[in-house]
Amino acid sequence: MKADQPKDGSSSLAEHAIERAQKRDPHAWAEVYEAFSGQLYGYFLHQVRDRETAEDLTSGVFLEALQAITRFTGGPVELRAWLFQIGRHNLIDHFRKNGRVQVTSINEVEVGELNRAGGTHDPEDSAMVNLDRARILKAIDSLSSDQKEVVLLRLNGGLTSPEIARIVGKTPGAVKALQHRAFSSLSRILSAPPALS
Amino acid sequence: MSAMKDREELEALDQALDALVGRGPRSLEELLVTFPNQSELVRQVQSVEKTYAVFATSVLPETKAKHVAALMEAARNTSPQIVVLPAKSRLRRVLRPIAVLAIVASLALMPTVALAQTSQPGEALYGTKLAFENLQVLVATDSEDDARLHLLFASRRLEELSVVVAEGRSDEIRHVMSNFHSHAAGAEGEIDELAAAGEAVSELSADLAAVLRKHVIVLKGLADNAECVEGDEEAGDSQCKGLLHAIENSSKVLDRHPGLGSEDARGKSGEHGRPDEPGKPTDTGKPTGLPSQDSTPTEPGPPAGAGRP
Repeated sequence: MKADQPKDGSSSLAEHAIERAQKRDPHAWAEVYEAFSGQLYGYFLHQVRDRETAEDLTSGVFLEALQAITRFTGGPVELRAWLFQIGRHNLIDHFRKNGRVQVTSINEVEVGELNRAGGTHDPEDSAMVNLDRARILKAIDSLSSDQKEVVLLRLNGGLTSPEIARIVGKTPGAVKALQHRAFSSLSRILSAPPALS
Repeated sequence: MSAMKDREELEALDQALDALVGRGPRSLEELLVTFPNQSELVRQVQSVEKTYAVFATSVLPETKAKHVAALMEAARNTSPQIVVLPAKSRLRRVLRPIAVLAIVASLALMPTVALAQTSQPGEALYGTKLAFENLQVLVATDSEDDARLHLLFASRRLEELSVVVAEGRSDEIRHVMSNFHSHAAGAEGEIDELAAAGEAVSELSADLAAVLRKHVIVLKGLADNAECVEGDEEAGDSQCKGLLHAIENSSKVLDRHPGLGSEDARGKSGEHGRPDEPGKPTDTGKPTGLPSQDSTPTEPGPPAGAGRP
């Protein structure tokens, strides 16, 4: 696998796009949205389990970032971490107002959403893929909220441990320990034979 | 040996995940060579790669079009000069007249207040000095002023602490330390608030780090005198427990605010504090930069500008 290249839009976002965004160039903002909306949306979708809410939260991040962009310094990688920091604050506000989602089962919308994004349209494959994805989502739901957050910021956001540490207000060491516990749990759950239903 | 193995496992997983999301300097294959003892772990992450797509998703095209249109419209309508004031500043504008009244009232006590400024812990006017400091914090107009005042008062407590420690006045030591903690926590809270509002905080963060490092030095001196054994908090007496706990707490805050010298603070923010300049009050009585102690932070500080608008 190719290293050094983030699997996201930040690599495609030119440095000068941020400068243009700071001058409130509408096209630059369209580029910023294109580069990061997928990651943010995925993070929100896994957390709130509702497409419309995840969409609103995603849009909110960019509108809020637009107001504060003149105070931002850094490149595309820092911009992504900054957007996630805004997103996490908004998510906490959302949970404070509406309560956390109590997930009892994986709904069809989520798996459908993920299939659409993952490009799985072949009906012959979809049953097995759905099963895998549903198992992964269920396994993630079994994690503590701290572990789940770190896993989602790591895999949805493509953020590194130090970046996550700054966002969640923990030390990088604490984040590494959390992710280790999370992946041990995930590995244990996913290696167990699937329960017959 | 076990701790070393654990650390290697944490590091191997971290680097493997960096590789998985395309952020690491090494590929998963290279990590198999780097961490031969952790090959099973690295292979587990490798197997996750196949299901990694479960985390990839995107906004529906029609929703995306709506979002982009709204964002572009907002960009057109947002002048670069418009700055949305943080909620706290708006609140403070309302509270300010009340605070001004409080200042006027305090002016009546001015001779006493002026006299109190030179008072030391244990003296009759020391309480007035602390009360006036609290009043100054109360009337500060924004978080930056608040943070600077907290840092100034925390550094005053440190100077006083050296005196009371030298004289072995244990009651005053507790009192001064408690007030120090209150100002250090106040400064950290304001710095966090500024960072969350997207303000650059590297200089304030460095000042806080300098004050905390000095505090840790004083505490360690006290702990040495009391013959406290680090890592043996359970066995020690209550004084040792308190001291070691305070050292640990300050170290935790230092982890979050390692100060200048970190990569982020040096390079990315474009802002440089003045670590070599001693702190001195400005015309308004605010410190411009507190003495920076020797430091070798191990983790980068928060990115300048990173935070919630």
